[in-house]
Amino acid sequence: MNENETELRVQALVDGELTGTEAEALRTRIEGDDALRELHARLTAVRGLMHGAELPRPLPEPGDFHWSQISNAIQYEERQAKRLARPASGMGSLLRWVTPLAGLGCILLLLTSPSRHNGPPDLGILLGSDHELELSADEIDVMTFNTGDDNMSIVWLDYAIDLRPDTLQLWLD
Amino acid sequence: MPEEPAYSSAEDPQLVEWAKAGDMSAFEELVSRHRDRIYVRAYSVMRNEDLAVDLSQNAWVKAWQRLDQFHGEASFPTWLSRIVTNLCLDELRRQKRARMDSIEAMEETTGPVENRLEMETVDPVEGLDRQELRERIDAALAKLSDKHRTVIVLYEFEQLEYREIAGKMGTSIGTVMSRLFYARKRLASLLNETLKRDGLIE
Amino acid sequence: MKRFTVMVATLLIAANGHIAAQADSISVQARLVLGTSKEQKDRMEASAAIKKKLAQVFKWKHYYELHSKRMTIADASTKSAKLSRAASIKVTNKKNGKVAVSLFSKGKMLVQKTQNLKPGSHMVLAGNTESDSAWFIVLSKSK
Repeated sequence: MNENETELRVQALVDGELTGTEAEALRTRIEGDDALRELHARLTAVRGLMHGAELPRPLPEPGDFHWSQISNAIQYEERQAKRLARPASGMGSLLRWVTPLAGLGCILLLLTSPSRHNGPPDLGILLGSDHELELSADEIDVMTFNTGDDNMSIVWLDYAIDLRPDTLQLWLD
Repeated sequence: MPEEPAYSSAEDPQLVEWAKAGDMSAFEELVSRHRDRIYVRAYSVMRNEDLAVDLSQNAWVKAWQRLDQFHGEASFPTWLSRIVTNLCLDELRRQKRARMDSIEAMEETTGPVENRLEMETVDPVEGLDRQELRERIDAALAKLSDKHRTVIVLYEFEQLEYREIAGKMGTSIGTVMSRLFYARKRLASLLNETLKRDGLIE
Repeated sequence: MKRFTVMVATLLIAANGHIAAQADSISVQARLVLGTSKEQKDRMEASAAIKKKLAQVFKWKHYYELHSKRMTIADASTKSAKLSRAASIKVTNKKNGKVAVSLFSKGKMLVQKTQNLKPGSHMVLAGNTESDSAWFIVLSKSK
């Protein structure tokens, strides 16, 4: 066992993660080793310091506002859940099949697109659902998604627009 | 007219039962009782006020949705604290992915000499009141890397075991032990500096 | 008397309609933002709120506001704004709080997005630039 492993085992002993004969053997070893005894004492001191050391902080926004945000979000989620649970009929039943296929198509398009390395990183994002998107006739790869909190919808285009300022417009502004 | 339940005098388990039955007012009372604590836990991990507020709000929404899964094995605030901690870990993972931040490359050096726990003067904190000590520890925690701080929060504040932390962080028990050791080492050294600088120790 | 009643009713309906039309006009802020990992001290940083929103999702460290334009759009009408030499947007205030935003580059439409843009939420049109950075057009509806 190297020194580093021994240090970690002493820590495990302090943290109560070692039991039985293993703990006993290490205790005996610590008693006969000044450096380990010191390490054990210091780790115990740090543990003691940390006990209950989390600094209390008041929420930085009024409680009723906090609650209103929570209750709005709960109601929003419940409305969404109800909408999704509504029985499909007519166009709805068609969409029920088309939407997963379209989603699969988007994923395949993204996976096979040669430009995907230039796109945004793996974001863990949700595909947007209640948004309408119309594309130009040009073949521009597009992906759409919402952030988890649904406060931001994003349309990502594989297209570089000219960012240089419009000097005439700036003058008019 | 039926009398409104006495929310403010009801115990948490009673409020939880009412909330499970769809009583939003009971849930509001639970939020009002524990919102600061949940926010503090989120802040301890994220060290960002806005994110901590957002994540604690999300935790309450998730709690409402999962109330049926709460059977009282732990206290309600402990259960909720687990939810907010999980959301914080997800957020850290998402930030790491989004920013391609190489947190892995942080200072987990393993040389035997430089890794000695240098905290010869950690214990002379007598004379500091608990609040002052908490503030100094908080300032030191803010200087830790995300992973070191997270492991400290999970172990010391959330009181999880090594294996539970390993599960949550998606890593091995050995890595958890190592991170905890170096986080403590760094904390001790930071506390030492600040206490020395303020003349509280020599 | 009956005629007078009809006239008053008509005036009330018209006045009400006028008020409703005023109430239905929306104010939209469009910002052209550059996301980059290289600090560019000569540029103006995007607001903290926009930076936070974008940094939550994207990898870039710095977000600079290149241009910003506020538009007040009456119900069922459209306004355009040029955000750079080649990029412009057209925003239509549709019914029921929906807005349709079309992005044009060199006069050609690239994409049109229609959605219910709630106050406090953002619609973002974005893409890479030629270097390792990105452009964002962030549309927000004023509260």
